[in-house]
Amino acid sequence: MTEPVIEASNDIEQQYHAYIFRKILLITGFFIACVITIAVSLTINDLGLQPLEAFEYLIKHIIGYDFSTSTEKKVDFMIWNFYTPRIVMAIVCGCGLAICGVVMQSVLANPLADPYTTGVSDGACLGATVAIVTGFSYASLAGEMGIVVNAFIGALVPALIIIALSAFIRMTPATTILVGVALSNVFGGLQTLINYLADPESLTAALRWGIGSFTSVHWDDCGIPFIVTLVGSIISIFLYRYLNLITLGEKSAKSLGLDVEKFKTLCLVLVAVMASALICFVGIIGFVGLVGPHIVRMIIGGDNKFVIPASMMVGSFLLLISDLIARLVIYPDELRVGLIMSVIGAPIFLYMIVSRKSGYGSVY
Amino acid sequence: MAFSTIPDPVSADEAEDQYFKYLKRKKLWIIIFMVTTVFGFFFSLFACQSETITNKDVWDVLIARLSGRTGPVSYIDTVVWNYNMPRAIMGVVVGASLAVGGAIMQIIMRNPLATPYTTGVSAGASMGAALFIYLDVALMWTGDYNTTVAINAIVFAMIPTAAILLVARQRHITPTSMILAGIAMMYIFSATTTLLMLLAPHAETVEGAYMWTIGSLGRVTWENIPIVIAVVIISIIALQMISRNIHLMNAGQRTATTLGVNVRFYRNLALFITATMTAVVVGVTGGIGFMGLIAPHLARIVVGSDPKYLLPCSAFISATILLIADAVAKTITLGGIPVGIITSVIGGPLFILILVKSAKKIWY
Repeated sequence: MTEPVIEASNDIEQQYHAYIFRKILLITGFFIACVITIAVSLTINDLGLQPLEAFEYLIKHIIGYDFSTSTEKKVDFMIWNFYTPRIVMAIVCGCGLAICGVVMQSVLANPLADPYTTGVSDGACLGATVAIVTGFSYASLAGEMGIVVNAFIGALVPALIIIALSAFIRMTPATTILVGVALSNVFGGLQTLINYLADPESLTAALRWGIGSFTSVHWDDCGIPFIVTLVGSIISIFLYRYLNLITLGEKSAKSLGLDVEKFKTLCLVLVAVMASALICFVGIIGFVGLVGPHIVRMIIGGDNKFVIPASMMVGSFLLLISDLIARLVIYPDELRVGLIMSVIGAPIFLYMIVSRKSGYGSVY
Repeated sequence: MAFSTIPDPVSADEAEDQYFKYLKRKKLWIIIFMVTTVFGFFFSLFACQSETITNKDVWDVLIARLSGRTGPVSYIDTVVWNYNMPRAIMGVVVGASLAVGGAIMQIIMRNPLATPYTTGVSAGASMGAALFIYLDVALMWTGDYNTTVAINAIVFAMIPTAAILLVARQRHITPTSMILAGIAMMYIFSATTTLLMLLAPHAETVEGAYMWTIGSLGRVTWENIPIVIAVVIISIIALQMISRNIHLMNAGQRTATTLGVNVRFYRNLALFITATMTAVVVGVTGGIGFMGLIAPHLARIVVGSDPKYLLPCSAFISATILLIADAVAKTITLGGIPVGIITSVIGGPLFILILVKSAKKIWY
């Protein structure tokens, strides 16, 4: 990085355009990567379709085309009901978790923050574990929905405690994080206690729930996460200016005219609801919310105007490609998506950290 | 209002007096916590999980053993001397080492969230243990199950830190990048552990590995105490000796360099010592979380952030809490819940309470 030389205003304008162009290029690049991954994902299965054919089926289904032959009907049924829901879920989760990560890292001014910093994941795990091990559920419905409802309620509890606490005392970002970690530990401890007393089969089931997976996703599961993520992403895209302000530190943000307390509460509520709504359906998917924003910031800098959409793209891409690989490694069996993402993503992330010449993280 | 921050003028003598009083108060706190540690030690020793053993029996065994008389091996003697005694000693050692490790990491990473495990020590240890428990892969077969697991865990616990130290040879690495590198390593290792879990043939082994990771003092025997004590004491003394230089890093890398500290050397040295100490402790007890995080914060509230006082104070606080938690664990259930659960479930709310009550700004 060399210092930009100020020669003429024309030059600066050009440089600025090039700078913006690079950011838009990154977002477009990842968007195209997502589309390609979806195509590959729809192609590699028992149906043996070409990429364009697969998209054709999708579009035809959406516009309500009436398929004539029975083979076409069968293919359409398979694609629409088995392969599309998990792709949609991967995109929704990628976008949602990446946004949560951006918002948390900005609000808490800490590179270690992720969607789960307020204890959402441990709360969800505790709820799910209670449902799996003891069979107790807040919902009277038995089985799958019971776990989902328990996980959702469990996820909201620690976040609500933090939000309630911040209404009574003035919390610095560091205090918020520490309280979040403490709550995570409490809920994690209770979950461990239940697991400790559980029989091996329930323990294994509970532990496996904790590793996120798109295996059993249906269209019924996609509705709530989709709506929540859509609303959440629109809100956070409109909030990017304030997010930029609060990254400067609470004092600076305040002196620049931001109501820090209200804004922080808003952000925490947003993240808690989004993260809970996502993970209660698919289990804990780590890494993407933490690392997605970091990858973006390393490439295009810290302006949230671009970081938010770019993170959404990167998050979706990470989850889509991980889901694809998870399906392929031991085909026709499949591995867990969260696992694949960590195994492949973490070394790449490590390389990105190491290969940087200038010190990353000075913004915090 | 604007002038109220300027203190009243005091004479040089008075200032010196106040300063010495200030130091005395810190030393007093350390002595207080030293006493509570001794109290905790005996509390843990006398908290037997069987009602047939009275306090007098415990005294008898202690006096007999300490005066060199090894009478007939009785039930009481076995419980007190071979079961409770090593456990209590290990409580002190583990507590102290985790707290000192945590305090050092929080200073060199300049992050209130750092723990001895931030560089991935516990994730590495868990993987080493899982490797043996699931797949019978042992680096050194000693004939004893627990010892073999411990050796595996200790060696694997060192790998992430070694990798990070290699990363740290890069010139411009900031604490933030170090933390991120640690997170990347943690993801790699915990994902591999999970992978092993999914591939594990029997649910029973999943339970075994899970129990190992919870962290308990129950596995401690007289055989593994000497080496752990030796490593921990040497490490703590070494860290205390270099604490002056590390303290200067609190002011930032550049400032520390200007003040004549070879930042990279001392940082890497401190990282190495902390990792070795933590690896040995984790290898023997499993990952006892939370003490490494909260004990330094609690100590910071009473003695401030000078490591000269912070390290001993947090060591004693942590030892006290761990001993009492272990005593509680032994008392409330016959088998003894792993102490890791107790520290999380009881320590969490306590920590939040103290954070909320203390008006002092602990960080930033």
